[in-house]
Amino acid sequence: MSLIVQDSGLLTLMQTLDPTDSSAGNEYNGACDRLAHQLANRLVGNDVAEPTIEMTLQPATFKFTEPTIIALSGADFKGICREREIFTNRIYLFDRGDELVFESKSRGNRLYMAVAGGIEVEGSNVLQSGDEVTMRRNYTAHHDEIFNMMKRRSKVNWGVDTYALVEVYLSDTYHLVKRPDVPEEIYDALESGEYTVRNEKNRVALYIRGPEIDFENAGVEHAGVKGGVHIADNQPVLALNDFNKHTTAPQVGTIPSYHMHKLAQKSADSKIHFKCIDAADAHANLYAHHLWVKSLFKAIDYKLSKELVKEKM
Amino acid sequence: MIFANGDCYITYQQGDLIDKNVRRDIEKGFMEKAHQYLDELMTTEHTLTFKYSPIKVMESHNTIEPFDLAVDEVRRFLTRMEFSI
Repeated sequence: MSLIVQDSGLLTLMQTLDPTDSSAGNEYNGACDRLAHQLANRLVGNDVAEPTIEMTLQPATFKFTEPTIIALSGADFKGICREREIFTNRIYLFDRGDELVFESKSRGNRLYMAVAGGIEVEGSNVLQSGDEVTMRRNYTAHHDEIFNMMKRRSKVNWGVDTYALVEVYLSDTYHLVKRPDVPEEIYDALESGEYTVRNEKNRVALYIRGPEIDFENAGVEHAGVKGGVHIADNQPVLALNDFNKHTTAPQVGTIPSYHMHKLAQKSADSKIHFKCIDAADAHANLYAHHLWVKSLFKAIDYKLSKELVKEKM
Repeated sequence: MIFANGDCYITYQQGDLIDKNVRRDIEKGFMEKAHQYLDELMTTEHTLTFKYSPIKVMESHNTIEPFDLAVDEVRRFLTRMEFSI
């Protein structure tokens, strides 16, 4: 039994947390929004690195063929199933024959769906209408407890509150780690203006427009790193997960990993402000972010264990 | 020059081209041995870029300044490959 993709939406992929080699020739370059990927998995009791389904801009429609526990995280899409509203960052049980469709969104670009026990695909990881996503059913005792709890109520009345995630997603300010070969005037110019997302080449790069950056191309071939900020036609181009392996477009800096979650959620017309910092500051911020994620996951585990204890009493 | 390219990468960059055979040997040398903190190597005509996990370094050494420790490993690796920077 499986999960059937009834309508594939705009771009729906099965995606791993980190880049992963695939013998089937699939491109697993990692989830663009790593936090949402991990959060969805944590809510359903999976290992945070289990593959999820990454949906961009217009999510897919799914039909469930057996009782399935899922959680959604990332862009704030509202789902509907048999007149039941489905929200992000909560746990839901779907029954055989249930269909999940998505309606409006208030913010964000990418939605991640984790399935308790894990999923896999036989062919391409780019999902098309009619494709089946196989349930791995790698259930642990913890999954069994969640299933037993959900059978009685099909959803829990708590989730990760929007307020908890505001700090990570809502700001338009992006840190940019400086490079030693870029003059300070370039950073002054980048910081002084407001940029607007023009468009995204799917998972490859975000093209933004704003004050022109006049930076001479020294002809250096750069490695394409995630978060790299390059200048093409006097405008910044921000590298995402599937960016070119190398490029001659001059690189002026790199957005640190802790700001890539919210970058992955930017869509056309979103605003971007740069704040240029040194690597040492980026590392201090990264560690603070790491501690925050750990405490968020601990809070999820605590709430879930409290629900499970209540259920047993 | 060698520098922190963001929070997870260390890049060595030079103006002259890096010889194709030297690049190939460095890539091979990187694949052949296990590394303490370095996860990945990307090479271009002018750069060698190493990906590492700063959190792993921070937690192993109880520090929030992982760059120096990771760059030491890069230098040791390049010295072993007889590549002067």
